[in-house]
Amino acid sequence: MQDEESLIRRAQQRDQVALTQLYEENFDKIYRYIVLKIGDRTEAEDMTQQVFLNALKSISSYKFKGMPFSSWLYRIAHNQVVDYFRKKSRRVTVPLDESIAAGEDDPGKVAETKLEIEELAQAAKKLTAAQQEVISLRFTGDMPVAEVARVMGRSAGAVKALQHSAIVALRKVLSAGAVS
Amino acid sequence: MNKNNEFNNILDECLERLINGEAIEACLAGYPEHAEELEPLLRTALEARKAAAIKPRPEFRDRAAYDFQAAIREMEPEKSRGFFGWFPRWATVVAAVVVVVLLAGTGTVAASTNSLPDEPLYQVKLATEAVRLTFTPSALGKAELYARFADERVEEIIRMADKGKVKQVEKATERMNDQLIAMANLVTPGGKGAAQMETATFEAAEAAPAPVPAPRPAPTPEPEAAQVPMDAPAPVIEIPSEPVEEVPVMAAPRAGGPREDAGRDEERGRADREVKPDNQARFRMNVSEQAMENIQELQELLEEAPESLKPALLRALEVAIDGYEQALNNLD
Repeated sequence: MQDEESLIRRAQQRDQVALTQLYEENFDKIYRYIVLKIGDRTEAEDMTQQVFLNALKSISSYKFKGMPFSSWLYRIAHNQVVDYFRKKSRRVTVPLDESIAAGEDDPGKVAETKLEIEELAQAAKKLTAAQQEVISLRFTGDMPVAEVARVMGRSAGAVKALQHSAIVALRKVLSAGAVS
Repeated sequence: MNKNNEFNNILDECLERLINGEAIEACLAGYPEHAEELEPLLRTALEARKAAAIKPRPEFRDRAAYDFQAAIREMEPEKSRGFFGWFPRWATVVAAVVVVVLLAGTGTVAASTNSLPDEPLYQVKLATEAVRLTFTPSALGKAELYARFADERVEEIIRMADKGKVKQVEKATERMNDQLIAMANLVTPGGKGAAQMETATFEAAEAAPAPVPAPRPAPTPEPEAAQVPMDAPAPVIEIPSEPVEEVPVMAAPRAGGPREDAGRDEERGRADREVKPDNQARFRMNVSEQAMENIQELQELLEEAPESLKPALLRALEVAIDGYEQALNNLD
């Protein structure tokens, strides 16, 4: 954490290496968070870029409080996702499927993973927004509960309870075959 | 702590262990009394983890990385201006000249000759170039220096591309751009702007973190792989087949008093600033050969480069093509 603090300090001084390192460490996670939330590749790409450009503009005002830098990026991403849904009706979506790269050479396995992820994304749509958020941050962003709590503005206890209810709900949706 | 909270804590602990790579069974073994309830939840969580396989498309990743780097460069530097920053520009130039002249005796300048943009002595190399320009009075001499420096920049672009350093490729490209434009301006009849270019070159020598602003708008590079033309055409560069006749520029000096001496000095000064046609033809030949060689090298580099380097190398190729073409047109 101390390393990240000094990295952030350097980034605030416009140190290109530090800025690039923070970008590289978080880029995939932020993209994944956004694309799973909105299910639209093109929009997710634009929004991911915008998250990092916004972060770059505001980094000098960032105050390190012991939480990972990614918490702040997720917060920015979350705000953009909210904004996106506010304007969503005017947009045409591009299927999520194209943005999935399973990192496998075996085409059969790639297709299988894509299908599973697609099912998961569809199932997640049946959850409440807060449940989706906790699943996304916890299992695709690998965030500890304390960080998720900070991003979501809730207590750690509330996030643990929400995590429980989210997994139960997701299990029900997946096992009932309610995925359309 | 009530029963729900206790279970939520156990679930969270097991999830954390799963995220860190532990097997479900290990966690269940730790809480046999909750195993029945825990197991399906942990398996569902593992399903959810499959979404972590989602990755951005490589072409999007490259484009985004390029744009992010460009955005960093566009930002105002946050650092203090540094020692030289508090001096007026003329004082900075004088100070640097003194420093470089002093360093010349120590071997540092010699050692910096082959330094690369990512090495500490590179700023000495740039400062030395600026000083050499300052002490070269004739237009042709300056143009020759700019041509040589542009050649150096191409070499630096190639070496930095080999190391995968996109930012350094871009900086070297902007310096090459400035130097090719300065060279083209100098060989234009009544050409102006060289002095400006000298200052620009010198600013680069001050270790400024941002690249020297190019005097013409840079075309927006499109790093989408499909849109990167791999067969960018080289400029048509003509090499003069016949030697150009020598035309004397300076009039024969006349004997006379102080007034005539003054006129002679003025004439000599003017001659220093003008480019003689025979020298110009020789210079054009050199520039033409250099252009062909450098453009071909950059084209080959672009064709073999990884996607992340292509936008920067495409820009370098465009700058080289435009710059050399302009200089050769002006030399005609």
